[in-house]
Amino acid sequence: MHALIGIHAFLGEAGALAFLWVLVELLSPSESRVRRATRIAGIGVLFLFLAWIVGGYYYLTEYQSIVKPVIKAGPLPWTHSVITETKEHVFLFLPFLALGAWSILKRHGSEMMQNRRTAAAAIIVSALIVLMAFSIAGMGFMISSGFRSALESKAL
Amino acid sequence: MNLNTVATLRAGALTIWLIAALAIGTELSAPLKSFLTSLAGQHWTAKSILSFAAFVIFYTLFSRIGKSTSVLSSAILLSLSAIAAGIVIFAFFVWHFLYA
Repeated sequence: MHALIGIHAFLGEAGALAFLWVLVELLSPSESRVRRATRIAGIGVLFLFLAWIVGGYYYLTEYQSIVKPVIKAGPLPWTHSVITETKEHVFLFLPFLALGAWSILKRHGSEMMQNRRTAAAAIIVSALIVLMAFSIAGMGFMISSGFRSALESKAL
Repeated sequence: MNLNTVATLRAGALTIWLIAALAIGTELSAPLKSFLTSLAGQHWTAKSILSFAAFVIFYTLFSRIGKSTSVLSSAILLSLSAIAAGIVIFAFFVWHFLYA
């Protein structure tokens, strides 16, 4: 267990929950709901950028040198070769998706009560952020399982 | 701070495809991987910095072009790009693990 994994996971999931909140607010937009959604989306952007930095720091300082060789030598090497490799790149999409959703709210939030198309645009991007972030959390579980199974195969 | 929405969404879509290209390119081309490693000490760090820098450049370019498309169509473009690029990256690494 490493504190940076916990911080990275917390920031990523908090970012995902922020955009789930945004999505729910926009299902029936009013002036106060859009204002709240804009603030929450801004916090979500911040969380996802911080998750990028913290996760990247862990990946470079701990994962590459300690965890990766253990997983690759264990019974589930695909959890690194497929899952980590996918996760480390797909994760980079999230901050740009988040900036997109926040930008829609910031610039076009006041139109959303009359123009449902702009609300739909923010809902689509927010929903994708939620789905991708939780899929990435699932990938984190698989990578942890790959590491654990490698350690168990040595210990047992 | 008010971002140009269409420019943000379109720059995001193009950046996502750049990330996918770099992810695959560094696995297939050792010189590219070495070049990126020489830029920032580790190729993933270089990809992160390059993707952010590319987003800023793409945003600036799209902001100058002006907005002729709707916010909804740009949001759909961004979302479909993220889904398609994610599938391409995953499929590539499955192929790379099984056959390369």
